[in-house]
Amino acid sequence: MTPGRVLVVEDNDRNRKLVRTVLEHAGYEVVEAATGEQGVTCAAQVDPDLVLMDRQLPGIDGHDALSLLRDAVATRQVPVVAVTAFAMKGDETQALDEGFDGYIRKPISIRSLVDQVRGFLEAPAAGRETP
Amino acid sequence: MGRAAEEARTLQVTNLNAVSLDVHLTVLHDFGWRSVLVVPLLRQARVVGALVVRRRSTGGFEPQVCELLETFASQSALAILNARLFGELGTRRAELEVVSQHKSDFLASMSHELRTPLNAVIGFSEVLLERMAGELNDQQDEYLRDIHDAGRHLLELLNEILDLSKIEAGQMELDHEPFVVDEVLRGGIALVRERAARHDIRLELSVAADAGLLLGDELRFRQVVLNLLSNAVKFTPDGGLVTVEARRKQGQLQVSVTDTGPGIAADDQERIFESFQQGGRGIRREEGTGLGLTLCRRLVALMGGDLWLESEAGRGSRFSFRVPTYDEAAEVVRAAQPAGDRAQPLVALVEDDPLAVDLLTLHLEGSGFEVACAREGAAGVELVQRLSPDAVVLDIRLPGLDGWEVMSRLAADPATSATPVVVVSVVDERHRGFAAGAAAYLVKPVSRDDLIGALEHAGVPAGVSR
Repeated sequence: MTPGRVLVVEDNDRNRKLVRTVLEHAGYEVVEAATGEQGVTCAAQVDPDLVLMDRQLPGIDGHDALSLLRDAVATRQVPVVAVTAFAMKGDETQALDEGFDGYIRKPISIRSLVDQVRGFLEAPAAGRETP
Repeated sequence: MGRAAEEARTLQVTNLNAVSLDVHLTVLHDFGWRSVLVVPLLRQARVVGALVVRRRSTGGFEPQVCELLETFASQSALAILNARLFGELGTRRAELEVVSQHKSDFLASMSHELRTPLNAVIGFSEVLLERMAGELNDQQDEYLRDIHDAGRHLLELLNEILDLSKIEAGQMELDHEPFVVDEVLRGGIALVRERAARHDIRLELSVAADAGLLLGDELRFRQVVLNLLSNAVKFTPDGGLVTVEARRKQGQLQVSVTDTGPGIAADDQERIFESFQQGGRGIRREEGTGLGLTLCRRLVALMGGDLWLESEAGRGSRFSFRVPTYDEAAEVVRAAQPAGDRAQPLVALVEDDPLAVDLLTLHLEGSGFEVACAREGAAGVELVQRLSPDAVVLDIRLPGLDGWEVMSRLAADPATSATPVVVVSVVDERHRGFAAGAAAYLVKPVSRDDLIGALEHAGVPAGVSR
């Protein structure tokens, strides 16, 4: 029994591997998707407890993928957390406005990533960043 | 006309009937013109045009007329050239703006593209340093730290490049929210404490009691403070001292970071604010980005302030910046008009803690109240008697007369006895408050909603929110 299944949607292979390494080390089960389309399909199949979604993706972006997840009955309830580049000011509030349940800033600090993921899993509907 | 241009001098034809006509002159002759004067417009031997005067009668043009026209011609030539130059300058500037915008866009996307692989460099070195892939020997640990620190350094550089390009493109937007100056300075010091301790550098903070709140962009303010602080620690020799001071001065908040480092020679003092210049600051135990001070100065300028340096080689440096604060005195003056003329309800705020004054003032003004403030009890009574405000917001623990005494004096004066009093205090003595005639009693900390709700309850609804 793992503490949870996390779907990581991120187009950069190395960064996806980094998130997987860190989360698996903390005991989470990790499923990966490299595009928004893959992420949406994957979410319907594996029933994740949490989705970490990069906002800038090739093809359909994070926001579009989020809408698709919310539209499907199977994935409507899954908390989706935006992973945003710190560079973009206003990105975070925009992410919350778009309906993400929270956000994690890039570059990801591996020390806080696990805490953040745990926080989102414990309070899925909080809609807030866990510090 | 062609000849006048060629010879660059004034020419005239006194009788078109008497000369052999070229194509142009034939046209003039056929239209009935009989004499013509041509004055070339010359600028440095270059012909930029010509003045042509035609007459229906034959005869020479008078020398004064020629002279006048030549003067006029030289002025016209100048004007035409200037107009052309202005035109070119306009085009050039538009081109430069496009180039500058391209540069900013390029830098923004470049730093984003660079950030992605850097994320992996920093992240995986953290994974190893956290021993997620097993134990490390001391040397491995040290080298990994080098990789990690170099990655962080590169990231910092990228962030600063991005910030600067945003400022240059006019895309840097600053927040305008209240924050507590003291807390931000403490936070900054906490972040460099470990590094300072490693070099036995003492950190001292001195914040004047009136530093209070600042309206602005907390994140950017913190960035400037942290940059100055980490520079100071970086350039101060082991066992030195770094001091941070903050105080209000003529409607501005001034923050200074002083170090006991090697100082900066007069010749270098302006240069270090330029990109990638670090000045001859002797020891440099860690590399800087070379952009920090440039960025700080630009950020402070965006905040409406300025940043400067006082230093002498061998005697340390003091970097200071000041940013405007909103002027409390002006608020009082603005509010000090008779009740009938007021567009907005007036609240007399009697409170001695500058932080609370700032915060409550922000709450009140944000809800459309005018605010007049007194810092101690007797002045508060006087203020209420003088201004006849719509309500009083009163602290209990005040220097001189305390809040209870203020209430009893207001109640004893028929002119002020009907003015509702909202008590805002750290001590919860509601019963005593209501017994003394308070319309509402709030215990600190007080939210904006609590305060405005209490005033409304007391019959003083908020004005039009600004």
